[in-house]
Amino acid sequence: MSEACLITPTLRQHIKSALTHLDQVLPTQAPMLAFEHHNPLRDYQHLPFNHALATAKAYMGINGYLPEAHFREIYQHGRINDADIAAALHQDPSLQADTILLLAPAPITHATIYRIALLFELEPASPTQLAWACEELNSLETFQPDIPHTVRQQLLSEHTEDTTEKTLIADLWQLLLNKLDLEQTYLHPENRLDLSLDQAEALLAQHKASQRKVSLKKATLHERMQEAINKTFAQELQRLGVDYSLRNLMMDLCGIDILDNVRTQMIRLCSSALDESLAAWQLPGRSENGLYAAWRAVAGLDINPFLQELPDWQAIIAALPDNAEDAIILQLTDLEIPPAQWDGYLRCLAMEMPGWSGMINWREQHPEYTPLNDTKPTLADYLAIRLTLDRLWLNQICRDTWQIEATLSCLQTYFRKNASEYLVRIHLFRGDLPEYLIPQAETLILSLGATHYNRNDWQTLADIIWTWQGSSMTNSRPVHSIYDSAWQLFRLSQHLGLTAQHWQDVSKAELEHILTVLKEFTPARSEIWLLAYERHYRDTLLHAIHTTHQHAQKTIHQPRPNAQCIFSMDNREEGLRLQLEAAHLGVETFGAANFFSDLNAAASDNTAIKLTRNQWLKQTLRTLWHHSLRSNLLLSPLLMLIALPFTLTGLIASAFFPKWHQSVIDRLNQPITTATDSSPDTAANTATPNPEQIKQLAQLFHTLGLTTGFSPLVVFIGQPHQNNPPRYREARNAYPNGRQVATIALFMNRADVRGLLAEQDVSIPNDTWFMAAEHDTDGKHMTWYSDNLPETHHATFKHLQDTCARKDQQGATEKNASTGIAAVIGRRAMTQNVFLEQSVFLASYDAMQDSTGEHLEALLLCILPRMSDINLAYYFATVDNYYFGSGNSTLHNAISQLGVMEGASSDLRNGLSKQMTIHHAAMRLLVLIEIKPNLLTDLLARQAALRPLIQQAWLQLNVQDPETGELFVVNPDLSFTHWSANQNTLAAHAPFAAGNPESSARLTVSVHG
Amino acid sequence: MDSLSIFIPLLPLSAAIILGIGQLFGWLNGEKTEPFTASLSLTALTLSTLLAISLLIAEQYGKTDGSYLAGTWFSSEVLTVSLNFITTGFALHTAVPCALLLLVSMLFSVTHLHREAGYHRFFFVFNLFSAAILLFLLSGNMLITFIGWQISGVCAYLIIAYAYDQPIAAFNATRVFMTNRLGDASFLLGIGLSYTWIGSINWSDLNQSIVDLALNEATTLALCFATAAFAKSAQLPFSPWLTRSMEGPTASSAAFFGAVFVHSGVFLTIALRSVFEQSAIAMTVLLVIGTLTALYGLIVGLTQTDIKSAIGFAIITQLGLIFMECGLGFWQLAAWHSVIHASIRAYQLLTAQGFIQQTQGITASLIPSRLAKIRWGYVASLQRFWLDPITDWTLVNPVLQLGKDLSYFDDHIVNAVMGAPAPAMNALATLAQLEEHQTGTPSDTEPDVFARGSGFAGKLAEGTSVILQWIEERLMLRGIHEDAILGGRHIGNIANRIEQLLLRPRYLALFVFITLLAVF
Repeated sequence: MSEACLITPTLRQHIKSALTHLDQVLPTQAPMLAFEHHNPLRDYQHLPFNHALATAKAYMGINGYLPEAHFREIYQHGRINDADIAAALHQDPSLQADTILLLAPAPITHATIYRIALLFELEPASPTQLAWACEELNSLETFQPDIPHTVRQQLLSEHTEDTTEKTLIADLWQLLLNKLDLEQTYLHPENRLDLSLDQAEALLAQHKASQRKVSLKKATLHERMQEAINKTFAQELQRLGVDYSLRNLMMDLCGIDILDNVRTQMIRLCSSALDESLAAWQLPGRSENGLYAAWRAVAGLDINPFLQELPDWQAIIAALPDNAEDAIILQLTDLEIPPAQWDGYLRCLAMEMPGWSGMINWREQHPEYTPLNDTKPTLADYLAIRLTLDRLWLNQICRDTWQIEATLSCLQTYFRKNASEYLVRIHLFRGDLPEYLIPQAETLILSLGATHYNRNDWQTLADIIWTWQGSSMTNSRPVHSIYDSAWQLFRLSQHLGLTAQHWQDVSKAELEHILTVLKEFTPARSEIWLLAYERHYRDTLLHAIHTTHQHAQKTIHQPRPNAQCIFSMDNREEGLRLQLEAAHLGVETFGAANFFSDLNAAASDNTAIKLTRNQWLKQTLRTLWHHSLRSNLLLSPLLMLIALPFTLTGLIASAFFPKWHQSVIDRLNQPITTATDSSPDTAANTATPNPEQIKQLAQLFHTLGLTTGFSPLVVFIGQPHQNNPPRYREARNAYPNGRQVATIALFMNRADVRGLLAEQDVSIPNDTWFMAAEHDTDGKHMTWYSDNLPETHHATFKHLQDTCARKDQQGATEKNASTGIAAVIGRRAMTQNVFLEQSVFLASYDAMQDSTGEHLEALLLCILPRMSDINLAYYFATVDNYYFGSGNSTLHNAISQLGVMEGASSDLRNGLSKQMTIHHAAMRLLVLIEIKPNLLTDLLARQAALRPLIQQAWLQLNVQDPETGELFVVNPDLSFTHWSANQNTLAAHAPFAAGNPESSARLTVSVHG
Repeated sequence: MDSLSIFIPLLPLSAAIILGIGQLFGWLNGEKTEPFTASLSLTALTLSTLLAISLLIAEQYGKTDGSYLAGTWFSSEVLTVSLNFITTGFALHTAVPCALLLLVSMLFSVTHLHREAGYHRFFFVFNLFSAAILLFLLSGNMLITFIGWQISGVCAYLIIAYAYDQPIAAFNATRVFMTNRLGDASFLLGIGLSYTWIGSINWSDLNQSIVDLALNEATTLALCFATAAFAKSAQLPFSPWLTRSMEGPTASSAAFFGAVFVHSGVFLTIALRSVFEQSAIAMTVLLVIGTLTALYGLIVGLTQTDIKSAIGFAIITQLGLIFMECGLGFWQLAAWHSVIHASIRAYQLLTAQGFIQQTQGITASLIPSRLAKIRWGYVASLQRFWLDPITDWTLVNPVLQLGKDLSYFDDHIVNAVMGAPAPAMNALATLAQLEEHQTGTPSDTEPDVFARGSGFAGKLAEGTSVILQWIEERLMLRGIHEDAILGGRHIGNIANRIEQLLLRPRYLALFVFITLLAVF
């Protein structure tokens, strides 16, 4: 076998390039500690949003939109309404929403049909569904259950008194059948073999007539069956490497999933090789030789293949070449996958365990990532191992079932000879068989190994199945059937409020045209839903901002406020900001977009990590608890005894005081290697201010519009890091904790720093004092860093403290349930009177003090891509949590520092959990910037990096003119459309439909004040 | 005072029943009813914990009788099964910490499972489990203990399959359940033997009369209960089930597989201390199995990379040590060890959710590189000493095959003999038959061709073979009657098959079993 395969450099190159292409389809799976929110479809970001989603669907099989049922629920809750749908339909000119389809009896436009197709299920029914509808729901004599009440009334009222619901519906159905030249011939699955002689003869004749080849017209039924089955099988094999692997083929033929065995092996091996902290014994030789070679060295010692009775395993392991690419070529050749399908086949394999493939790929693409583990795994290693294991188990199935080897040619030969068996198997294991045929098929399969091959039994059963299939016997399906055309029109017409009377004069061609329109609309439906959803939210938000504009103050900082609080721009801070402002203390609040990450980074870099005795103790205790207690046989009983009192305290605390318990745990477990533990005082008090830091601080104040008018007390407010798992790295920069902002406050209180800032046009009065606080948005409590606060400021501080201590009236948000769906960049006055439900990033920016737009430019460059990444990470984790998310977090099980799996042996899952996305409104980020439109045009012309996000519609940009308050929508071609309140929001403010009050409350924007 | 003991398991049981009925009728569903479910469960379990504690205090002051007879379940001339509880000693002393651990895990679950689709189901199982475990610990007779033991096994199955939409979880749950059934069988055998030899199924009678039993009888009894305990406490060779069980929500893993469930084997062993002490062999078995399991858990634990499996093997190791202590006769030590161990593991598992954050910057110390290079050792550890495939090979696959053989036997022999009705098919079942009928020729179009050729040469060869076959059939086989040939072939097949079957080891094993059964 292996001799026959020639491994040439060209082939190797081929494999290498195929693996490089996998980068585009595999999810980006960074290890947990390097995890950052990102657009999972980053590699498609150069395409327009909808194209990118279509491409991703084709390549990765993922669905990029919320399920339609979910959208319908949102509609029920009033968060999408008919006006939104109509507007969304008109947005796409190719849909020709206003074209009139049918003049008589009443003018019906495309849009009418589209709306019904969106709101109600108009898909064809399966034979069983139709049978159910007719017999159990009595659908041919009553209204469809989802017909709105008004339409029912309309249908009934238009007719004379002697028409009842029953006759109305029955007539309609009959008329549609007549128009389409159909007969009501639906059969029960149980009765589908009870053909009358006429029916059977008709079917047979029809079948014969449908054959194109002349030779087949004359052939017997069995010959035609054979021909058809062979053709199907060949087509299935063609799919190998498109969306089908040999694993799928075996599942279809035997119902056995080789991945059940292979998955465990792959997980054990890969996690052992990539382990970062948990295992005391990792794959020997992984650093020196790499994953594949290290595995090859141990593979021969494993007696698992022997115990599982895998055929030829010793030969297959012994034949493994030194190089992983060669191994891939060898296995693909031995399985006889046609070389043209190799690329696709490798893609299919990689996508079967996207989590691990993604992780290995990420590690390969990021050689700079140097964890405690220095293995350099490659996708080639991973796939070579996967293919080899696949082959071992494929061989087992093929040998046990058919006594053949697992190669394409062997399978082809076998099933060419035993076509009936193929037919029976494929129907049984795909679940297409009716209940009463299943036992027969199972008995036959069971007896396969036991008795000699009884061809007649297989043939008979295949005949029965073939006959049972009935209508699908012919290769070309009829144009119309009662299941699709008639049923669809039947439902559509009821929703349109049309009866048999109305359809009398409509021709068959016109009906067909309606069906075509319906069919062509199908792929566009999800996109229309999304557009309508986004539009509704946008109009609501813009309307609220528009109506409050009149109240907006033109100048800020007058009269001089008592205190100014600078928050991070996190949406969860909104509640506290409102609370402070509402207390009428003369407090101004700001949302800072970028909290000088570099300043902190610089501070931490300068601090050499030297463990104090205290820290050493902490380190040792943690090691004892997390590792020794687990893996040290002799020490652990003693340790347990010592740990018992603490454990009991912990247990009781975790049950009765979970928040306090969590904060203690977090404090105990703070990593020692970061800046958080180094004292803020030292660096900030002694270090000479470097120009870069000063520049950044000046930039911050300019952006905030806070260059003059400082209040006596300015408070920086950070967030504890545990508020932001698992986005550790980015959170540390974007949302600094109390200690980090305390460092900045200390720095700002230095006279030399203020002097330098004054040179940058930031004039801070002498009586201004900077202090810091930490706001725990989960626990809703504040920690103040009030050391050295001068006496003069104590009164103000006390007021602030009291206000913050009051119970938050906005209600608690879900822990970690960040629903960042919009961002407002502008003065606080824009949003001060609007209650945004904590779903909007609020970044302060004063356009009045930035005549050239340069500060905005810096700001957007810094935050726009990041916000969009966060938004898209949530978006995709919400729409397809299987692929982009990490499933149910209550089942999570950490794999060293790499990531999590659900339960004991699932694939690696690293995205956002279902709990984190449960309340996320899946839509693209809506950005509203307060700036003159012409300045924004110039800015976008300068910044090529920002344009694609807008041009390819990965976010929706809107602008408010700071002076006039006019609102504009920025189109993908960067032109501006004026947004007017009257035109757009009348509909948007229709009262919300009754529904679950809680979910409809989400995402509402209301004006208060 | 003693009569309170009946309420300890009864309260969570009532909660479970209410929750079960509520879900059955759809009253308990969704987020709105979460507070009801949580408060009902917590109240029930808190009360039974308080009852257990007060009973313990009463016992300390000598206010209890040590047992309580609640009534008789059923009785006959030879056997009376009463509903009696033990309210003293080891049973009570373990019931208190167990109830506390369950309560803590339940409190934790209230927030942990908030908004989960299976919230109410989870609490139903949790309550039922609490009731079962407390019943198991406090019951005064074997049959009721066994009922608690069984129900707790069922609950474990239900909780592992909590995410039953995931095939892996469902599969693992079944596997764990089946492994535990082996222990149950042995428990049941123990009960039967105890009744035969002692004439009672009360634990107190067993402990008293065990001294009168012959050595071999005492040994057999002890080994029966030891096997049950090994299965429940994940000792060799049953160990692999414990890591498979880590599929449910973290809180349940802590309560079931960190704390209570997995220790119930140990509790059984310690409670039967006097039985084991009668037999040196049984003690040796405890020691040997315990030692082997501890080593097994230790070595396999070295290569584990996910936190739940790692803790799982740590649990196996410590349980091995506890059995070792039992085997050496340090009963008191073993009792303390097991209770402390249960608390520590429960806490470790409850906090395992944040493992990644908590272990930033610290690592397990690697084993010495000299040892790390032993490749076969690594493979053995990584593959967990192949216990699962070995079980499949020796037990699961033969049993499955046996099942298939029986099904074949049913279909082809029993049905034929009994004249079971064939599936009802119309006279005109298939189109092929219709065509056959129309054309009047059999439409068997898969002719007996030996080879299918393509191209001229191929077709030529095919044609030749068909002609030759025709000649053979006409000239050579016409001599004998065709039926004779078919019949002969048939008989040959059957003979082959019987021979094949009889040579399989599974039938040899079956015969051995049957012989053994006949002898006893």
